[in-house]
Amino acid sequence: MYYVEVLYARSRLFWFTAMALLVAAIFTYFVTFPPPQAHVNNDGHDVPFNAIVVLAGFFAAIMASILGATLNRDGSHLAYMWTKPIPRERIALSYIIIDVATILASFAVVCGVCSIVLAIPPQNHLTADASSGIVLARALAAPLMLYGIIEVTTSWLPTRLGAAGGIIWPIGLAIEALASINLPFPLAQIFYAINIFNPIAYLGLHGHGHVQLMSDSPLPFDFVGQTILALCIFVVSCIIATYNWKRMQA
Amino acid sequence: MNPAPPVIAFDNLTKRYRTFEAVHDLTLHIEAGSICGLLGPNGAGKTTAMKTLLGFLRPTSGSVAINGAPVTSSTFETLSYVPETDALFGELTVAQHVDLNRRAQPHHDQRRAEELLGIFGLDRRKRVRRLSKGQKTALALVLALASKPRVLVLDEPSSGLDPVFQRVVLDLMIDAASEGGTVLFSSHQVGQVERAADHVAIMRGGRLLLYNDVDSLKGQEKIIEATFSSEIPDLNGALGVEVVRRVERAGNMVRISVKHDDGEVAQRLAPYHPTSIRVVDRNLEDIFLDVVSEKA
Repeated sequence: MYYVEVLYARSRLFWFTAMALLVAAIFTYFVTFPPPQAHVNNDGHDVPFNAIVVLAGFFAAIMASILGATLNRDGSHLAYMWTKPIPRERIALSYIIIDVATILASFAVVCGVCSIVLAIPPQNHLTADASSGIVLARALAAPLMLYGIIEVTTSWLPTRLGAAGGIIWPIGLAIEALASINLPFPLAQIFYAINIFNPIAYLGLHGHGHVQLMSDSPLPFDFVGQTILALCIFVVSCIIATYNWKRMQA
Repeated sequence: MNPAPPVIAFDNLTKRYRTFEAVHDLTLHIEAGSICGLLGPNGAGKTTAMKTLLGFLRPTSGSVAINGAPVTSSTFETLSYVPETDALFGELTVAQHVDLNRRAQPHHDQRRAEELLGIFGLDRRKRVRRLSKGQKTALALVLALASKPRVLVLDEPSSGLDPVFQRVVLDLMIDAASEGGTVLFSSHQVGQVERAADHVAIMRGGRLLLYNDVDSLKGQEKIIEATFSSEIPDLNGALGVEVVRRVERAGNMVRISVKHDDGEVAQRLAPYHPTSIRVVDRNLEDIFLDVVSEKA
């Protein structure tokens, strides 16, 4: 049954890559042939590696939103899928593996496109520092966590909830904002606890490589601990989603 | 030595959704090589019973089994199901569905699949979302039958098909049973069940009202049709016997249902000078309507 998800993910990755290349081509064109009134400094820059992976992580999170709810999305095909001699958990697991591979591929596409674009003026230098390893891990963990949370919240529902991947962004931003402001007891504690499971909160990188994509979100643990936590939430979410889907009545 | 278990077994199956009881205490055993037609009005519990059999729903009480064992994923190596609603992937083509079936089913027979696609006139390149309802049903049947199943469970298998293809579907079911397969199918159309099934189960309101083999059912009662040249005379003297169950009048003809025909009723009609008298089997529609209305 993974064949169906391969076709779906392949088509999404194709359009994602096409869009990334189009944006890169437009960007490159304007850098190479700037308008006469524009001033382009070709002296060369230090381009932080962390910035690229954070950007790639953000776009990988968009891909995670598109692919998330995959088990729910196929709810109307259960009569077909569940009457094949394949254990349900194996079907679910194969779907998740394909989606994760696609999210990682979209991450690689953005990293690759950014590197090519930045390499065009040869004076630019990609610079990494000691934090680059963990920043890379975090940039991968956040979209995976987002995928896991969407999957676990939708997998057990027999009705289709394809919009969950889009809805989670404003909800996540709202929770993050509420967790950041000084609310009275016990609201502050409640939103702080909810925010631990808010994947949008993990997309921020405040204080690491001077890159901040989202607001500085209150989360427990240090940066490394949060990254490990995000990966754990992803793994547990996928296990629960698989179990829910297997037990669902349709 | 223990006898072989029934191929399909429902044992005291009850399925309840909160307060609504969709299936109540259903016990039904279907033997190998049998074609069982499941008849019932809308909401009778036919689809719920089938879904519970296939593991889509968990029984509230009772049990279901295929070949004496609970349904697991490996059961579907030899069991094919055609659902009532379209469960195919709209974005995939007919050919991709066949390919998917080939990958998933260990007994997939590509030559049989091609043959069936030809019978139903399905275009291999067409996306499923562009197929008509009947064509989708036909594709689901192609995929089910190409897996060479020993057990076929079909929920309204001729839904949306034109009369020619409805006949094809019934013939395919009969072929499957003649090769030792077991078929359980539901239908609203009594004529289809009468033509294809050797056993019939009638459900209403979640309860099994009747389960028997079709020939015995039809032989249990006879219809005596007497036609008169003018108005039907008062036949009370002829019909006051115990075997008469029901009398229907239509124009110059009277139809008399009798429990068994020993010739007595026909003899009693003779003095009224009918132009013709003939004795026919009851058809399944009569039986179905009798059962459903009697137990209403």
